[in-house]
Amino acid sequence: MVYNITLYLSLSICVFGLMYRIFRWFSLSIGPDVEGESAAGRMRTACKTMLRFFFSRRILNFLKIFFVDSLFQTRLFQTSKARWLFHILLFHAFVLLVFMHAMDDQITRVLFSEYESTLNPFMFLRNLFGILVLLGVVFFILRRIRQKPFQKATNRTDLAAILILSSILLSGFLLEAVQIFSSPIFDEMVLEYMRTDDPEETAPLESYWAKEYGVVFPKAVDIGQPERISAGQMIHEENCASCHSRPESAFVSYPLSIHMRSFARALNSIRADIWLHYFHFIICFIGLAYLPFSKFFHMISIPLNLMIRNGESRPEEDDPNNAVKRSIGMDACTHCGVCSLHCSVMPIYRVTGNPNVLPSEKLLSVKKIASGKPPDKTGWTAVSDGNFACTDCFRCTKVCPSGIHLHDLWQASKKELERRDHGKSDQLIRKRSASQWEGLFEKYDIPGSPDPDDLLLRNMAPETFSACVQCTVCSNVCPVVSLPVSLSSPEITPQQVMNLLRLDMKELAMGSRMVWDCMTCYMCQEHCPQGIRVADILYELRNMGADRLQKVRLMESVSSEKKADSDSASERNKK
Amino acid sequence: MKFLFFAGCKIENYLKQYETSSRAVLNELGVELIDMELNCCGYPIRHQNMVASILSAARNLAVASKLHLDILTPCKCCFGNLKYAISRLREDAEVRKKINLFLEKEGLFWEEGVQVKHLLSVLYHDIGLNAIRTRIKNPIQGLKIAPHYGCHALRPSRVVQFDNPLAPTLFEELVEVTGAETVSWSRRLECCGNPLWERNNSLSLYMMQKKLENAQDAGADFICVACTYCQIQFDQVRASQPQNTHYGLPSILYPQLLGLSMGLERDVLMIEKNVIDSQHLTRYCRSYHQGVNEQRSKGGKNG
Ligand code: SF4
Ligand code: SF4
Ligand code: SF4
Ligand code: SF4
Repeated sequence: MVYNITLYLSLSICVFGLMYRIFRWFSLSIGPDVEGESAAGRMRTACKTMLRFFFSRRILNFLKIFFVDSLFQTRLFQTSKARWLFHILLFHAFVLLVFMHAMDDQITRVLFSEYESTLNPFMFLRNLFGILVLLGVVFFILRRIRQKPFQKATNRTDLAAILILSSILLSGFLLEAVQIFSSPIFDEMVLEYMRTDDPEETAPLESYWAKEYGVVFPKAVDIGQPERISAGQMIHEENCASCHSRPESAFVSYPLSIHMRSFARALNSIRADIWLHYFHFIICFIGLAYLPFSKFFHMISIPLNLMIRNGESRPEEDDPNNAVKRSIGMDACTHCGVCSLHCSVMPIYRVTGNPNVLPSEKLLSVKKIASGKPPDKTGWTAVSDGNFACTDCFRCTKVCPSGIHLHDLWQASKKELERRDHGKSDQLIRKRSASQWEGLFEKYDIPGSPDPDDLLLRNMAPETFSACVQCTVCSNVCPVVSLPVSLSSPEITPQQVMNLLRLDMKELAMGSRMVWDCMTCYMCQEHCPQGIRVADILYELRNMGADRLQKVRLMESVSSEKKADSDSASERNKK
Repeated sequence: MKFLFFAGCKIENYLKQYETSSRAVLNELGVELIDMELNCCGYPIRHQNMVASILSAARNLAVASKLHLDILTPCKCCFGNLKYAISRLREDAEVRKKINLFLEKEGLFWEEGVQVKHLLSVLYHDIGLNAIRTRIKNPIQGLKIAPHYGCHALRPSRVVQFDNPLAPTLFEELVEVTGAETVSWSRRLECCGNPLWERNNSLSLYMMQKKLENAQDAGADFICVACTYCQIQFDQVRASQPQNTHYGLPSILYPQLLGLSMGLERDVLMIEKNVIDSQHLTRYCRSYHQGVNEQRSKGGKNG
C-alpha cells in the first residue's frame, strides 16, 4: 500500500518534471539572435528538423554518437581516464541495479525463471554493482575535495546528488546485512515454507542457520552438537536450499552483518529490517521524483546534446534551432568543473573571487538569465565582468565532457548582456560625460583616495606625475588626440589628464574619453622628456574607473530596488 | 635551442596559420618548441584589473621557470604584457609578495630568470640573419613590403627592450633577408587600432585606415606583421567592414613570407587562410610552387 502510493506519486512527479524540463528547452532564451521566438514556433521548427532528419542518411551518424559517445562516454575518456573509468562503472552498474534489482519482478524474473534475490549469481552481482556505484560516488567526492577550485564551487545540486545516491546504496547494504541476521524473518519464512512453528521441529534448523547463515536468535542457540547441525542441514536442504545461496556471496553485506552482530538482538526486536526496507525504497522513490530536477537529468540531456550538436565544431549562425540547441546545451551541464580547471582566465577568478569568471559557474548565471530571472546574489555587475573577462580561447568548449558548445553560449550571453545595458565598462562609461561620472562617484560617496592595500596605485603616487612640466609632447604624439572632430575626439588630452592629476581631480579624469579611448600605443610615454609613465597612468585610471563604475552600478541597483520597494509601500499606504 | 611556446588565447581558433607557419619556420631553423597548457597572458584584463593581469602573466612565467625554459611567443601583445609584468614584479617588492602568495597555493613561485622573447627577436638575435640567409631557397622577388612594428613589442622600450623605439630596423632587416624590398612609410610605428576594437570601433577602424593609406602611398604591395592581434585587425576586422576598401594591400604574416622564401610547404603556411588575399600573391605563390616542384623533380632524377 505505502509502497504503491509512493511509487505512483514519485513516478508522476518524475513524468511531470521531465515534461517541464523538456518544455523549458523551448522557452529559455539567450542571445538577441533568438529573441522573440515563441515556444510553439520553436517546437514546430524542431519537429520539422527532426522529421527531415529521420529520413536522411545522417541518422547513421546519430546512432554512432549514441552508442559510442553516450554509452561509452568517449568525451569523458579524452578528458580523464580515471574519471571515465569510475563514471562508466558507476553508470553501468547503477543501470544494471535498476533493471536487475529494483525492477526484478518485471525484468529479471522474466528473463531467468529460477530468479531469487537470495540466490547466486544475483546476490553476488547485486553486491558487486552496489560496491561499484559506491566506489564511484566516493571517487567523485574525493575529487571535489582534493581539487581546489571545486570546494567552493560545489553547490546544493551537487550535494543532493551525492547524498541521494549514497543513501540509496548504503541503506541497501545495511538492509541486506540486517536481513541476514534477522530472526523474525527466519520465523516468517519457516512458517511459510515449513508450515510449522513447533520449536521442537525447528530447533535443528535454527542451529544450522545460526551456524552457517549468520542468523541471530533472541535466545542463545546450541551450535556445538554435530548431530543437531546435520539434522538441521537435512531440513535446510529439503526446504530452504533451493532459494538460498551461502551468505558469504553477499561479499559486502555479510561482513557488515558480522560486524553488527553485537546489536543484532536489539535490531531484531525492533524489526530494523522493516524500517530499513521503508527507508530504502522511499529514498529510491525520492530519487526518482527528483530525477528531472537533479544532476541526474544529464542522463537524458547529454546524449541529446551530443546528438544535436552532431560533431559540428561551430554552430551555424542562422540555424533556426539555435535557441533550442543552446537550452539543451545548458541543461547538459553536470557542473563537473572540468571547463573551469582549463579556463585561460582562472587567475582572474583567483584575484577577484568572482565565480562568474569560471565557465562552470558562469553557465549557471547565464541559464538563470535565459529563464528570465535576474542573476543570483552576485548580481548583474559580476555576471557582466565574468562574461567579458573571457578571452574566447575555446578551451572550455573543447574539454567539456558533455559536449556543450560553450563558446556559442558565451557569444550569445555577451550580446544579451549588452542588450540589457550590462555590457563592458567601456560601453557603460561612454553613456555619461566625465563630469557626470565625477558627480556620481561623489554622490555615492566612493572614497577618492587610493586604497593602501591596492598594489596598483603605486604609479599614481604624486611623485610619478608631479614632474610633468605640461610641455604637451605627449599630446602631440598621441594618435587619439589628432583624430578628426567627426570621430568625437576626446575632450581632454593626455597632458591635460596629467594636469588634472596634479590638481587632485582624479575622479574627473577617470570618466574622461581620453582615458577610455587610449590605444595603449605608449607613444606618449616613450616621448615624454620628463620620463613620466603617461600610458601606465592611463591604464591605472581605467582600472580605478572600472572599479568605481562597478560600485556605482551596485549602488544604483540597490537604490533602484529600494525605490521600487518604497514606491510599492507608499502605494499600499495610500490604499 | 629550446623554448616554451606561448601561443596566446586567440591563435588556435582565429589565426591557425600564424601558429603553423611559425612552428614550421622555427623547426626548419632548429628551434625546438615545448607545449604546455598555459593561461591567458593577462593583456586583455589589464584595462580592468592590474593585479589579475600580473598574476596571469606571472603564473605562466612561474610554469616556465619550473620547466627551466624561456618563453617564445608570436603575439606582440602577449610579449608586451609578459614583459610588463616582469618589470612590475622586479621593481616592486610588494607586488612580488602579493603575487607569490597567490602562486604558492599552486606550488608555483615567481623569481627573476625566465626570459620572454618574441618570435622576431629569436629570429634576429638568437638565430641571426646569416643563418637565415643560408636557408633562403626562393628569394622573394618583386614584392614591396611595408613592415608594421606593433606597439606592444616596441614600447615602452625601457620594459620590452625590443629594438630602438624611435628608429627600429630589426623588422626591415628580417623582411629584406627574404629577398623582398621594404618601403619606408611614416606611420610604420603607429598603432594598428586593434586595442580599441570592440571598445570604440569607429576609432579603431579609422586608425587602421590611416595606416593602410600611408603604406599604399609608399608603394607597398603588402603589409607584413608579426602579431596575432595586428593580423586579426588588418585581415579579419578589415574584411568584415564593407567600407574599408584597401583590398589591394593585403597583410601577410612574417613567418608566411619567410616560409615562402625558405621553400616550405603550402599546407603549413596556409596563405589561403588569410581572408584578404590579392591576385598577385596568389599568382606569386602559384608560380613559386611550380618552381619548387620543378626543382624537386629535377633533384629526384639526379638523386
Ligand atoms: S573560452 Fe572563455 S570561459 Fe572558456 S576557457 Fe576560454 S577564457 Fe575560459
Ligand atoms: S560546462 Fe561542461 S565541463 Fe563545464 S561544468 Fe558543465 S559539463 Fe562540466
Ligand atoms: S610629455 Fe611628459 S612632461 Fe610633457 S606634458 Fe606630457 S607628461 Fe607632462
Ligand atoms: S598610449 Fe594612449 S595616450 Fe599615449 S599616445 Fe598612445 S593613445 Fe595616446
